[in-house]
Amino acid sequence: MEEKTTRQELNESLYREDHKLDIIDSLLYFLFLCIFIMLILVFSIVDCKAVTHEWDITNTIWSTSDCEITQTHLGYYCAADSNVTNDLWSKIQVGNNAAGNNVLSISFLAKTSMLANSNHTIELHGLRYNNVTYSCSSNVVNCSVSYVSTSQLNINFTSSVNGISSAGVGFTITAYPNSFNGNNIFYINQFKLLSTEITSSGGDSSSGFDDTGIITSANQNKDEIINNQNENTQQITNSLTSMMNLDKLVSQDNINTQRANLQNMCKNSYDVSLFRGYTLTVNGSLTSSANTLFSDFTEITNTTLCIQNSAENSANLGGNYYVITYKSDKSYLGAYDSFNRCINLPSTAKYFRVATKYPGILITKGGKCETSEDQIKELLYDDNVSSGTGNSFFNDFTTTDPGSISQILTKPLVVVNNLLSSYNSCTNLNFSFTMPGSSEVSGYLPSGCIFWNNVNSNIISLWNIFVVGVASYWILCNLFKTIDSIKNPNDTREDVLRL
Amino acid sequence: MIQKILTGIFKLVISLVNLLLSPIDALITQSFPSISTGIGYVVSFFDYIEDLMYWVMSWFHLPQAFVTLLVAYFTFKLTVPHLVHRVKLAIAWYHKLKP
Repeated sequence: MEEKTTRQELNESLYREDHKLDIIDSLLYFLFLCIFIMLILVFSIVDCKAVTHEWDITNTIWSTSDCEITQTHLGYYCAADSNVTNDLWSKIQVGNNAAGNNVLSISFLAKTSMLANSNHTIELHGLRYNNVTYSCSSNVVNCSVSYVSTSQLNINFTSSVNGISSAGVGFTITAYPNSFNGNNIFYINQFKLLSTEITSSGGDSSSGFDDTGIITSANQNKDEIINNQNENTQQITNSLTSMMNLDKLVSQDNINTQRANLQNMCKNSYDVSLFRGYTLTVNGSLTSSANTLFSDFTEITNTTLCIQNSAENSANLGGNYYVITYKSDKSYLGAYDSFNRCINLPSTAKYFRVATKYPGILITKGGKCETSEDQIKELLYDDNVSSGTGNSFFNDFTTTDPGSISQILTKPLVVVNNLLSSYNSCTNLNFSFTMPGSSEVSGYLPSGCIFWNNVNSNIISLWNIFVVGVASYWILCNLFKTIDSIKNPNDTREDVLRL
Repeated sequence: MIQKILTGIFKLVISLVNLLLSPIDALITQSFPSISTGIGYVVSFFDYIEDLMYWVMSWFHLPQAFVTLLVAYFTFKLTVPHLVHRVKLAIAWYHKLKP
C-alpha cells in the first residue's frame, strides 16, 4: 500500500513535470519563431545589397533539352556534371572574374556544328538583373540581350568562325550588371542553348566513326562490346523517350533526375588508385578496320592524368576526341577534350572517367594488368547499366516510370533515406501547371540558399547551434517520456519480477 | 555512424518491399497500364511533396545533424517501445504456458 502511494506521488510528479515541459517547449518554440523572423527581417534589409553581388551557381542546372541532342551525341555528352559537353559546346562557366567582380562569363568550344555566321541564343533562367552590360569577347559578334521576363534573359549572338574547322576555337560572351542596387539579383538556375545548327543524325561514317561512345571493359570481347553498346544505346533511347513523354507531366526536378540517370548510364568510372604510378595504354579501334586508334595514358601520378596522342592518331583524327573528368565526391569535375593534355587530379580524387565518341576503346593497365584484372573488370562495369543481354523475366521488374505500388509504399522510407544520405539544402521548388486557355505556366521558387549563402558564416554557425540545441533539448525531453512509457509505471514490483 | 546504420536499415527495408512487390508491379505495368499511369501520377505527387519539404527546409537551413537527430529519435520512438512491449508479451505468454 505504501508502495502504491509512492508510485501515485511519482506519477503525479511526472505529470506536473510534463506539464512544465510543455510550457517550456511552447515558450522555446515561440522564441525560436521570433528569432527566425527577426533574422529574416534583419538580413533582408541589411544584407540585401550583398545578396545581389554574387552569382549563385550552386543550383545551376545544365540543360541540354533544347540542344536537340540526338542519340549519336550522347556518348560525347557524358562528361562532367558541371561541364556540359556535347557536339556543340564543351564548357560553360559562370562566376566572378579575377578581380572579384560579378561577371557572367560564358565560354565554350564549338565542336562540329557551329558554323560561321550562324545565329544562336543562350537562355539564362533565374532572377535577372534589370540592366545587363554585355560584350562579345571572342569569336562572337552581334551580341544582344533580350529581357524575356523577370526570370529569363536571352543572349543572342552570331558565331564568326566555324567550329570544327578551327579546332580549339573558343567562344566567349561576358555579361555583367550595370549597377548594383536592391534589384540586382541574378540567380542563375538554368542554361539553354538554342541552336538550329545541330543537324547530325548519325555518326560520321565517312571517317569510320560511330558516336555512341561508351567505353567498354578491357576484358570484354568484341561481341560483348557490341551487345553492351546496343543495350546502352537502347536504354539511353528509352530514357530520352521517357523524358520526352513525361516532360509535361512531371516536375523539372524529375526531368533532371532522369537526365542524371542518363549521365550515369553513360559513364564509366575508374578507380584512380588502381592506376596511380603506372602507364596506361589506351587501345581503341574505330569502326573501320583501316583506322586504328592508339593512344597512351603517359602518366597517372598523384596529381596528373595525361593523354598523349600518338602520331598515328594525329594523322587519323587530328582533333579533340576525349573528355577526361575526375570524381572526388559526388560530381565529376574538370574536363579536357584533347590529346596531349593533362588534368590535375587532387589527392581527393577517387575516380576518373574518359568519355569518347568512339566505341571499342580498350583501357588496359600496363605491366600489372593481369594481377588486378578482375578488380578492374568489376570497376569498369557500371552497375547502373544492365549488362545482361538475354530476355529475363526479371527484366520486366522495373521501378521506373510508369509508377508502381512499391514506389508509393516505400516513398516515406525513401524520403527519410534521401534526407539522411543525400540531403540537399539548396533545392528549388519547380512548378508547372496549365492555365485556363491551355497556356502553360512554369516557374520555380528559389531555395533558401539565395538567402543563406549570403549570411555571415558565424551567424550560420550560431543558427546551427541554436537549431540543433533546441532539437536536442526537445528530443531529450520526449526521450524521457518515451523511456518512461517503456517502463510501464502501472506494473507492480511483483509484475516486473515475474517477467 | 548513426546515420549510416539508419540509412542501411532503410535501404534494406526498401529493397525487401520492392522485392516482395515486384511481381505485382510487373503485373500492373503489363496488364493494367492505365492503373500504372495513375500510380505514376501519385508517385509524381509524392515527389512534389518531397521537393516541397526540401524547399521549406532550405529556407530554415536545417543542418544535417538536426535531420539525423530527428530521424534517429523517431526511429527509436516508433520501434523500441513496440519491441519491448512484444518482448514483454512473449515472456508473459511463456510464463503462462510453461508447465
